[in-house]
Amino acid sequence: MTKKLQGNGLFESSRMMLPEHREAYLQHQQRIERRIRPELDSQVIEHIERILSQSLDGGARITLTLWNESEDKKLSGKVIQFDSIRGRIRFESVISRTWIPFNQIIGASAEDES
Amino acid sequence: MPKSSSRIIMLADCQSFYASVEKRAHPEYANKPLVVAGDPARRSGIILAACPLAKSYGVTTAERLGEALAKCPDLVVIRPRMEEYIRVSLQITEILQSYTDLVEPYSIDEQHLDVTGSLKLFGSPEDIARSIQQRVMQQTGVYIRVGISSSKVVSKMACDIFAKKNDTGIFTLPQEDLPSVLWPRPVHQMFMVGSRMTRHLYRMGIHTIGDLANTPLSKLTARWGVNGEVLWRIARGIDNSPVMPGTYTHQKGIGHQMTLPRDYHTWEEIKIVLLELSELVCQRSRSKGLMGSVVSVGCRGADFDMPTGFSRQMKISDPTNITDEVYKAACSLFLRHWDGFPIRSLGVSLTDLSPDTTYQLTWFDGREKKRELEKTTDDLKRKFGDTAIMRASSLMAAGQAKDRSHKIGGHYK
Repeated sequence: MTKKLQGNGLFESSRMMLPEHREAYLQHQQRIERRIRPELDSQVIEHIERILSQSLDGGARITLTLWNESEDKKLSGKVIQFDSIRGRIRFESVISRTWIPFNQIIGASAEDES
Repeated sequence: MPKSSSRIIMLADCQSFYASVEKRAHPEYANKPLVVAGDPARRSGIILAACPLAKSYGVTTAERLGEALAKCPDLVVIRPRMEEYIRVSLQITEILQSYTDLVEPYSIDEQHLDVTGSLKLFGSPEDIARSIQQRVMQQTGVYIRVGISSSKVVSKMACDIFAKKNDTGIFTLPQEDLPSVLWPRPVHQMFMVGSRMTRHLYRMGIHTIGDLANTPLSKLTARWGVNGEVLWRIARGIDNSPVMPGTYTHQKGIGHQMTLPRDYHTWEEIKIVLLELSELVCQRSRSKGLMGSVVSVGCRGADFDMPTGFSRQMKISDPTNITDEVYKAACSLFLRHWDGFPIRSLGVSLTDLSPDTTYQLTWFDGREKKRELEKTTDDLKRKFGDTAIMRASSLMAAGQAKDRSHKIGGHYK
């Protein structure tokens, strides 16, 4: 059923947009819209905690997903210290050691050994 | 819903867009006739855009380069740079967004904007239009024409029929002026009326936009159904379409189509392209975190006067974005419907999309392995370019992947 008489249907069905233009436009819109930090489910938090402590205890290399206003960043390395008073971890990657606040971490995964 | 007559809607259109971008990039050609042509090396290439100076020699868009050179031997011919045109188009979007957040691109060189809420800040609609013209010219070298009205449909016609032809490049067409200003115009100038529709309308005795507006609606719907009503409403300027910046976010399907450099006759050749298309479609689905459960395949023959080809779709058992699975479906669809005629254009698309975060685990098919493999090849391509890793079949003569990686919309990046 055609939707030309409803909403934006007339223009959505007649416009000429290159797929690459559309993608670039969507990226542009994402940049200007302020990103909102995702609310983490308690199970996800538990999962992240487990991965972090496995890395701290066993020295396993892990990949963190860090929230940032413009875009998420991935960082791989291992946890070398917990600072629960200030709510942060000391993280060692190939290039540097940094403090990362807990609330910046929105994902963690163990690096596959395979 | 605000009263439609209370909105202020504009359509901003770029004059000779590709050519204007190239003229700004090459100041040495400022006073020379310039065209952007599909493939400058071939006289059979098509003119994609011509600057006003070239047009004054009679050069028109969509004609062959050879014909254009015959009219104007001094023509400067430039090869398209689609990525640059997309960048400039977005730069213009950004300028428009400094007047209102309600901006919606309609094509690479046309964008609608709703400035109803911006009048207190920036002055009258004409003030805003002039300011837009100046800024876009300063920052990009592109001349903008602006149609102003209270709906998208009328702003488009205000631009196409009037603003493109007058000295200021700005035209306001209020709803109440339609009978006196728009209706005397020939019907073929109306938005959404093409050459074929014009012929049908002429045969019904409809010659002007006013004739169409005054034709009983029932007569038009009896003949064309919804499309008849669409035409009648456009003629009367009845249009509530909102300017929707978010219009591109909900995606119905992901598809890729390509026109082949020559006719492909054999299944051996065609299936290479089918695989490349399946790969492109799946790669894009994966990057967007989507899977589809309907695969469609379309193709067209070389002879446009004797159209051959088909477009068919099938549902697959589990939603997927794995290249092999989409390719398999595309092959079986194609073989079922192909009549053996040579093929000139081919397309594959994936629809009925769902997020790929949750999926049914299936036994015995090694899906996890494929998923990991494709994640890795996608990462490689993202980092080192689309040709960093390719299927060996794409290196065969029939393969298009390498050529396509240099192009956007069939034209050079």
